[in-house]
Amino acid sequence: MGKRIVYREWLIQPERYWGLLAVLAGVIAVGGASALYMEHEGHWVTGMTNSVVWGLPHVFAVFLIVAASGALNVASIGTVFNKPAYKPLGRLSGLLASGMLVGGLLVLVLDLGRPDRLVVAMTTYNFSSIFAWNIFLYTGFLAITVGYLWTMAELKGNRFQRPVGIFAFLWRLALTTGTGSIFGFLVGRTAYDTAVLAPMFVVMSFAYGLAAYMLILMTSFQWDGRPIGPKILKRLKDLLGLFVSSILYFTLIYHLTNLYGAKDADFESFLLLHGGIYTFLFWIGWVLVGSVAPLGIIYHPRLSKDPNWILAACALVIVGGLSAMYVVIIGSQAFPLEIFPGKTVLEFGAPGDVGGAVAPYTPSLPELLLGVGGVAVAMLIVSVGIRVLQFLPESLSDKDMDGLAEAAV
Amino acid sequence: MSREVDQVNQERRRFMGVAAGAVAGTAGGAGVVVAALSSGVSSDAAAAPRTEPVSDRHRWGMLIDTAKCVDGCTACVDACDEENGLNLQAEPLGDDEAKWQNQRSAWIRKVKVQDNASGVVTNLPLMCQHCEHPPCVNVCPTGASFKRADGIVMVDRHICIGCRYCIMACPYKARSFIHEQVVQKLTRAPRGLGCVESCNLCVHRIDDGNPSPACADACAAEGHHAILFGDLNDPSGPLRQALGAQPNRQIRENLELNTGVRYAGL
Amino acid sequence: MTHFHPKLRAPVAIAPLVLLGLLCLGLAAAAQATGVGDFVVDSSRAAKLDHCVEPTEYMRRYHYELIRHQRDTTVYGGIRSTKHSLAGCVKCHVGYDAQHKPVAVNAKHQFCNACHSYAAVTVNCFDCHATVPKGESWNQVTAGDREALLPGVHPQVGAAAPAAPGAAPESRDQ
Repeated sequence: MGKRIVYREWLIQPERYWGLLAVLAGVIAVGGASALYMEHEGHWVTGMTNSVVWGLPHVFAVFLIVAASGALNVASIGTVFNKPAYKPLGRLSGLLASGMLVGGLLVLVLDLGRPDRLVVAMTTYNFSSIFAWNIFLYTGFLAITVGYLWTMAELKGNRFQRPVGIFAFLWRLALTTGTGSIFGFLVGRTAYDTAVLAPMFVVMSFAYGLAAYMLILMTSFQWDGRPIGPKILKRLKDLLGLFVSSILYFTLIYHLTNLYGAKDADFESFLLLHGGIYTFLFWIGWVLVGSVAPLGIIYHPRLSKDPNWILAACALVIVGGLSAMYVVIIGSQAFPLEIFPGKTVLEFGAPGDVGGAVAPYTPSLPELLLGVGGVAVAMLIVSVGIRVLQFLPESLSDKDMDGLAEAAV
Repeated sequence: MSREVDQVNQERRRFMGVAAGAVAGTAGGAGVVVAALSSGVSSDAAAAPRTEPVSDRHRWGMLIDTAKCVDGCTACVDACDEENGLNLQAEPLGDDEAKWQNQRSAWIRKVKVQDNASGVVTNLPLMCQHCEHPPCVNVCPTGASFKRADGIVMVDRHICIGCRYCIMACPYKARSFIHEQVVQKLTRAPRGLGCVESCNLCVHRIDDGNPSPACADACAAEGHHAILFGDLNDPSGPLRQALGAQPNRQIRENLELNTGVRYAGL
Repeated sequence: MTHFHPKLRAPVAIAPLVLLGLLCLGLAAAAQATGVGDFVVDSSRAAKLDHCVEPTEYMRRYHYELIRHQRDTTVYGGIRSTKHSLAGCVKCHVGYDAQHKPVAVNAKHQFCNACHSYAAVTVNCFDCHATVPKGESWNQVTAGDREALLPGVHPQVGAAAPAAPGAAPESRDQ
C-alpha cells in the first residue's frame, strides 16, 4: 500500500453538531410518541385494515433494511473485490449499514400488534417461517457488521478483514434475499407469487444503499470541508447508474413474468394502467423519478460532473425507492385476492370490502411519523458515530486517492 | 375513557336484543341463564368435556352445499358473531365507518359469486378453510398460528406478536387483526388488542364433547342444512358419506392446501 | 431468604417445601401485613370455601405456573375442564357489588389487583380474557368439577367425566 489513509472524527462546529442532534432527537421523539399512540389505541388509528395489513411503516422499514444491506456493499467492493479506491469508504459503509438496519428494525417492531412481546419473537421460533429466519439474518448482520468494522479499524484485526468481508457480503445477500422472500412466496397473492422478487430486492438494495451512502458521504464531507475528488465521485455515480439500470431491467422482467402468466394480467393492468395512486407511484415515482431521471443526470455529460446534481440524483433514487416499496408492499395488498377464479364476486359479507374491489388505504400521520422516526434513528447513529470515532477519511481528493489506486495496479 | 364507556353502553344496548343480554341481569342468575342457553345445544347426555389431549384420530371438516345456502340469509354469520363474541366489538369513536367495517374482526362471511361463463349465481359462507397445509402456519414467525392435532387451524394468542404475516399469506381472507381495545369479552372467546384471530370451528364446543359449530347449528335451525360438520377421518361418518355422494371441491384447489372445508355446487 | 415468619398461620398442615416457596419476598411481606385469606373478596364464591383448588400457600406461590400450564394444555390439547383453568379462577373469585353485579376480577381492590398492585406485577391475562364470568362454554357451567371445590369434598380432576374418558365425544359423530 503506497499511502496510509488518515481517518478523523467529524469536526464540524459544536453548534452545528448539537443542533443536528437536537433536530434528529426531536424527530425520533415524535416518531416514538406516534408508536406509543398507535400501540395504546390500536391499529384502528392507522389507515391499515384487514385488507391492507402492512402500511406505511412497513414501506419505511423494508426500505431501510434493504438499503442497509446495500450500504455495506461499498465496504465489500473494497475488501472482497479488492478495489483500493473503495478502501477509505469502508468504515462509513459499515456504520451506515448498522444505523439503517437498527432504524428499520425499530419501525418494524414498533408497528407490531404486540410490541411488548418482542421477547417472544426472540425466544419462540417457527423455522418454516422466513420471518423467523430474518430475525437471525438481521441480528447476525448487525453482529457481523460490527466485527467487520473492527477488522477495518483495528490494526490487529486487519488480517481478518478479507474473510470477514466475504462473510459479510454473503450474509447481506442472504439478508436481502430473505427480505424479498417475505413477499416472494405468498401463494395466495397474485403480485407476490414469483421468485423474481428476491433477486429484484437484491438489486434494489444495491442501488438504494449506494444512493443513501453517497448522500451521507457527500453531505458529511461538505459540512466538514473535506475534499472529494472527481475521480472517486465518477466511480460511485457510474456504479449507481449501473445499479439503477439493473432495477429497471428487473422491473421489466417482473412485469413480463406476470404478463406471461395470463391469470395475472388483471393485476398488471391494475398496476400499469388504472390503479390510481399505485399506477402513479409506479410510473412517476418508481420509473421516472427513481430511475429514468437519475440515469439522465448520471450519464449527462455536464450535469454528471456537478456534485450537487449527483446529490440530487441520489435523492431521486431514494424517493423512487420509497415509491417502489409502496407499490410492492401496499399496491399488492390493495389489489383484491383472487379467491374464486373464473367468478365475479358480487357480495363479500358485511364486514370487509366487497371482493373484487381495490381495498382503500390512506396512510395516517402517526404511521408517517413513525417511519420518518426510523430514518432519523439511522441518521442519529451515523452522526454520533462519525463524530466520536474515526469513520471518515480526512480526504478523498484525487491526489490522496492516487497513491491507493497505484498500489493496486 | 368516557367515549369507550359510551361505546360499551351503545354496544350493550344492541346486545340486549339478543338472548345473551340476560347476562347483564342478576349475579347469581347469570351463570344459570348461560348454562341454560348453552346446554340447550348440548343436551346430548353422552357429551362430556375432554380429559385427554386431542389427537389426529379426528380431522374436523365441513361440507357446504351451496344449493341449500339461501340468498339473503345470514343465520350462520349472526350465530358466529354471538357465539364468539364478535358482536361485542365496538367501533372506536372517530373511526371511519367504512374503514371500521374492514377493521373489525369477521370469522365467517356470506359471499355471493357469479360464474363468468354461465352467469350462475352462488351463495356460500366463507370462513377459515382449515387447510392440511396452512400457509398461515408456515409463515408465522413465533408458531402462534398452529394446526391442532385434530386439524383445527387456530391462533395461540399468548405468543402472537401481531405481525400480520399470516393475514398476508391466507388465500381466503379468513383472518382478522384486532385493531381496537376490546372492552367486552366472553369467557369462551378471549379477544384482545393486537392479535390475529380466525374461525376455530367453535373449538370450545368440540372440546366439550359437542362437536357442532354455531354456524352449522344455526343453518340447521333455519331449516337450510347447508353446512354439514363432521370428521373427515371417519369413513363411515356422515361427512365422508356426504362427500362421497355429491361432487364437491375446495376453494383454490390449485394451491393444493387440502382444505378441511369443502363446497358442493361451486 | 430462608427465615420463617412466626405470624404466618396456615389452616392445614403444609409441607416444608411449600413454606419455603411462600417466603418469596413480596408475598411473605403481604402475609405478614394482613394474614391468610384477606385478599379473597367477601362477596365471591371463594369466600365460602375452605381453600382454593390447592392449598392457599401453594396457590399464592405457584398460581401462575398452574394457570400457564393449563393454558397450553387447553390451547394445544383441548382440555378445558380442569380445576386449574383461568375461567375457574374468575368464576370463583369474582366479587359482586350491592346490585349483585359481578365486578371485574382485576379491578381495584378486587382479588387479582389487590395482590398484584402490592407486588407491582402486571397481569396480562385480562388483555384478552373476560374479567367476569360471561359466556362461559358448556363445561365451565355444568361440569361437576366445580362441586369438587365445596367443603368436605376432595378435589378430583375429571371426576365428572364418564368412566371411559374421551369415548363419549367420539361416539357422537358416528
